Amino acid sequence: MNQVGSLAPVKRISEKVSVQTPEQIQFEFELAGVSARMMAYLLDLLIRAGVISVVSTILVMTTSWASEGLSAGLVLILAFVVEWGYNTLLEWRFNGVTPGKKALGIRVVRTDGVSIDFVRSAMRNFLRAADIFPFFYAAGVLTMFFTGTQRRLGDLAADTMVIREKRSPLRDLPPLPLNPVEIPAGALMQLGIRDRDLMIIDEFFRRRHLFSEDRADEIAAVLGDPVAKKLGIEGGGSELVLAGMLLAGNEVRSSWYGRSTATSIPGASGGAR
Amino acid sequence: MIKQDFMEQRRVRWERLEQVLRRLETGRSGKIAQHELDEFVHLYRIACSDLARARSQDLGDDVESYLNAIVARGHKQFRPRTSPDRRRFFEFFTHDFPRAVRAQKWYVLAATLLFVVPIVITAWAVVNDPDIAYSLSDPAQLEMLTDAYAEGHQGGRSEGEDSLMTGFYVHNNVGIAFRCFATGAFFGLGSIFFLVLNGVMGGAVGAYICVAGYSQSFLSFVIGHGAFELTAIVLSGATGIKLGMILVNPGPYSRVDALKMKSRQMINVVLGAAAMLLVAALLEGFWSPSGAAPMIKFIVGGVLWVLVISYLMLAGRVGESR
Repeated sequence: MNQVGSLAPVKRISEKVSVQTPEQIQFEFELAGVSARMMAYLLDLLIRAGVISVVSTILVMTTSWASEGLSAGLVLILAFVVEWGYNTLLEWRFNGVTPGKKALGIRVVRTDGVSIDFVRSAMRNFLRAADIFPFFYAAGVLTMFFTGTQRRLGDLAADTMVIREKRSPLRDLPPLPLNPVEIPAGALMQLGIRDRDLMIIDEFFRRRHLFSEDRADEIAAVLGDPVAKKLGIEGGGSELVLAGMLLAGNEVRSSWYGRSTATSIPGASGGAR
Repeated sequence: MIKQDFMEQRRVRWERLEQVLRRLETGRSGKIAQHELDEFVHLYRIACSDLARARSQDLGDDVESYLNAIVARGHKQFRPRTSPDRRRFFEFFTHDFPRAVRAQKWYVLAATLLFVVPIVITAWAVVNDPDIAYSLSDPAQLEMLTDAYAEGHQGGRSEGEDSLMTGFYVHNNVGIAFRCFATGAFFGLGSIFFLVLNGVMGGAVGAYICVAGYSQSFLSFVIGHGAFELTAIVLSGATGIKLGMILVNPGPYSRVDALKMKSRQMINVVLGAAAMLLVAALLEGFWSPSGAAPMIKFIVGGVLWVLVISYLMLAGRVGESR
C-alpha cells in the first residue's frame, strides 16, 4: 500500500518468455511459478485419490462376488493407470491442461507456444519419476531454479514450459472527475512523463472509490503538485491535474497514431474486409 | 480521439475472436465447423497485425496487453495434427517400436551387459557361498521365496490370486521400467544403477533358490514371462542411458535440440517396453504359476524368447531407413 504514492516502477516477480508467430509478431507468455505449479499438482493429487477411491469402490462392489483377488488386481491396475496416465492423457487431450492446472490458470505449451502432442506429454510426465527424486520434486524444483525459464527435467526433455493463462480485459478510461485541468499534449513529453506513469494514474482512478477524500488528495499530490508547479497551473486540486494528464496522454498516443495512418500499413487494413 | 476510433473499429472483431476462442478452448475439436476455423484464422491474423500496430504506434499498455493475451491464446490453438487411429496403433507394433529399438542397439547391448554381468557374478558368488545372498537380500524374504518354490506350482493357483498378482505386476513392474528410464535424466546414472541393482538382486535370489535345490521349479517359472519382462527392463534402461548420454554429449546440437530429435524414438521404446511388461504381467500372473509340466514351460518359454528377440530384430525391416 505504501507503494501507491511512489512512482518507482512496480515490478512483479514473474518471468516472461517471448514467442514469435509465423506472422513475425512477437508476443509474451508469462511463466507459471513453482508455487502455482505445486498447488496444481496437489489439487491433481487430490482428484487422483478421489478417482481411485470412487472407481475402486465400484470395482470392488461389482467384481468381488467373483473373487476378492480379481477386484484387488483390478484396483492395482487402476492405480497404475491413474498414476502414470492421468497427466499424460489429460495434458495431451486437453491442450496442456489438467483439472488442477485449470483451477490455477496454468497450461503446458511447447517452448514455441504451440500446444503439446502426445510424445511431449508422455516425455514430460514419465520424467516425473526423475523430477520427484529423491523426495517431493526436489530435483525438479532445483532445475526450475537453474534453468531460468522455470522448467523441470521433464520440461527440458520434452521442450515444454508451463505458462500462466492471462486474461487481460480491454478497458475504457476510468471514471474521471469533472472539469479536469486542461494540459497541452506536448507538455507531457517535455516533463518526461512516460507511459508507465500514465498507467499508474489510470490505476489510481480505477481505485479512487477505495480512498477517503483526504487520502486521495494526499496520493494525488505526490505527482500532481510538482507537475502543476512546473506547468504553472494555479488552483484546481491535484486530482484534476492527474485527470488532465491522463487525457493529454491519450491525446499524444492518438496524434502519433493519426500521423502514422497517413502512411497507413497496407497489410493491416488489407486483412480487414 | 483516433485511438478510440481504432478501438471502436476493431473491437467487434476482437470480441468475435474471443468468442471463437472460447469455443475452441472448451469444445471438442470434432464439433467445430470448418467455417468457424476459417474465421478463427482470419481474425487471429488481424489480431496479430493489430498487436504489431499497437506496439509500434504506442497505443498504450492496456491495448497492448489485451492484444498480447488474445494472440497468445490464439497461438496455443495451433497444434500438430496427430490424431492416433487404429492403423497407427497397429503400425506402432509392426514398425515404430522395433525400429526404435534397433536405432539404439548399442545402448541396448550396453544395458544388457549392465544387467546380465551382475547376474552372472552374483549368481557365481552365491553358488560358491550361499551366505552372501543374506547380505544382498532380506533373509526372511529369501526364506519365503524358497518355500514358495519348494511348494512348486504343480497344483496351480486360484484364479483370484492370479488376477491379484497380475495387477501387482502391472503396478509394480511397469512403474519400475518407467523409473529406470526417467532416472537416466541424471546423466544415465539412475538407469545404470537400477539395471545393476536389479541384476544383483535377481542373480542373488535366483542362485540362492537354485542352490537350495529348487532350480527346476524356479527356472520354469521365470523363463516364460522373463522373455518379455527382462527384455523390457533392459530396453527402458537402455533408453534411460541414451537420454543421459544425449545430455552428456549432444554432438553438434544444443542439448535441447538433440533431445528433441530423439524424443519420439525414446518414447516409442519406453511405450513398447510398457506394452511388453503388460504381456509379461499376464503371463506371470496366469501362465508361469500354472500347473503345466516344467518341460512344457521350458519349451514355451524358449519359443517366447526366440519370438521376442526375432521380433525386435526383424519386424519392420522392409523399407527401414538407415
